[in-house]
Amino acid sequence: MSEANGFEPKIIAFCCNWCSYAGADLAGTSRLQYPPNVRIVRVMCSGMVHPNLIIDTLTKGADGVILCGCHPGDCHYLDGNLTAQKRAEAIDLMLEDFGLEPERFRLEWISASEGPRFAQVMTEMVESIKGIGPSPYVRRSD
Amino acid sequence: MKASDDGLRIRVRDPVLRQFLVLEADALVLAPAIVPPEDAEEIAQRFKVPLTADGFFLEAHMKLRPIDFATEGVFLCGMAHAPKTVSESIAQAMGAAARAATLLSKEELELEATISEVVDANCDGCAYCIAPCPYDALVLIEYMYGGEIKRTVQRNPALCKGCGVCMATCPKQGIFVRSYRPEQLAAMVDAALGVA
Repeated sequence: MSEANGFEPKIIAFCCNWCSYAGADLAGTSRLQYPPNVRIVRVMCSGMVHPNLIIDTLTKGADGVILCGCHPGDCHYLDGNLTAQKRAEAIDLMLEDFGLEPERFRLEWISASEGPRFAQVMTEMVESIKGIGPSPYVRRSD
Repeated sequence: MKASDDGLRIRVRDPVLRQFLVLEADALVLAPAIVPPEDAEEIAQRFKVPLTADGFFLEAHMKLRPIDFATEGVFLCGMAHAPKTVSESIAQAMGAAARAATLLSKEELELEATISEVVDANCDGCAYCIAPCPYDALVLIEYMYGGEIKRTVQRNPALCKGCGVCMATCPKQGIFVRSYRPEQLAAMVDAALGVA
């Protein structure tokens, strides 16, 4: 996958079961192209992702993490996404403590009908991570 | 629009044909805008059901559960859901009544399997999880354990929907959602990163 010295980041996307995961599904069934650097982990709600899990993911080998939930007001669990939003502020502070760039973590709202937006957000994220380079926690053999 | 002795001649743009059409009519009746009820927000909060950005009620799933709410036992139909015709409203109302009947006709209901579970050994009763729970499914209890008062959180299995806000709030891994334990999520991440 990687070119001669091209950097291909590994990005983990936590997608909520009700909106973003369905959005990813729609991007797939609509045959939209987006970079293969993104790997999706399905969770029931963006509010279920512990800040520690985000930091662990970033220190274990991911170059970027993107947390996707429903648009505010659309949350299947009333306001789990808003809880995730509050938590994202804490995560931003934690990134600083871990010496990670703020661009490595992103929170995005993607609804089940926004397949094109899913592909666009993922493309942007991959471009942004390519711009800042590999995570300092990653030791690459390739 | 032009009025003449024969009636009205109305020039409208058809967005499908992308052309202007001239209609001959006796009267022009404009449909007023359909807006959501003002008290929708209060009702939504009372019944713990979501609203769309426009202020109409939001079903659990557009295709799979179109007349259910995520909250058990609450159904929707008609213009509470979105602007629609009378026949559509009636069809949806019949559907909602049928959905309610399937619940009422049962002696017992099965609970959702993916709900949270408290790990009593890890929970020290800090109660951080209680306020964020959107369904008020958690309460703090105290009981005697080894001659001392042990505080722990108890979850009501009938109220919990398994959103996992409690799990992500807990600093001690004292509560998790079945099938989404912290170890399971970490294993998924490891596999996705290829570091396992």
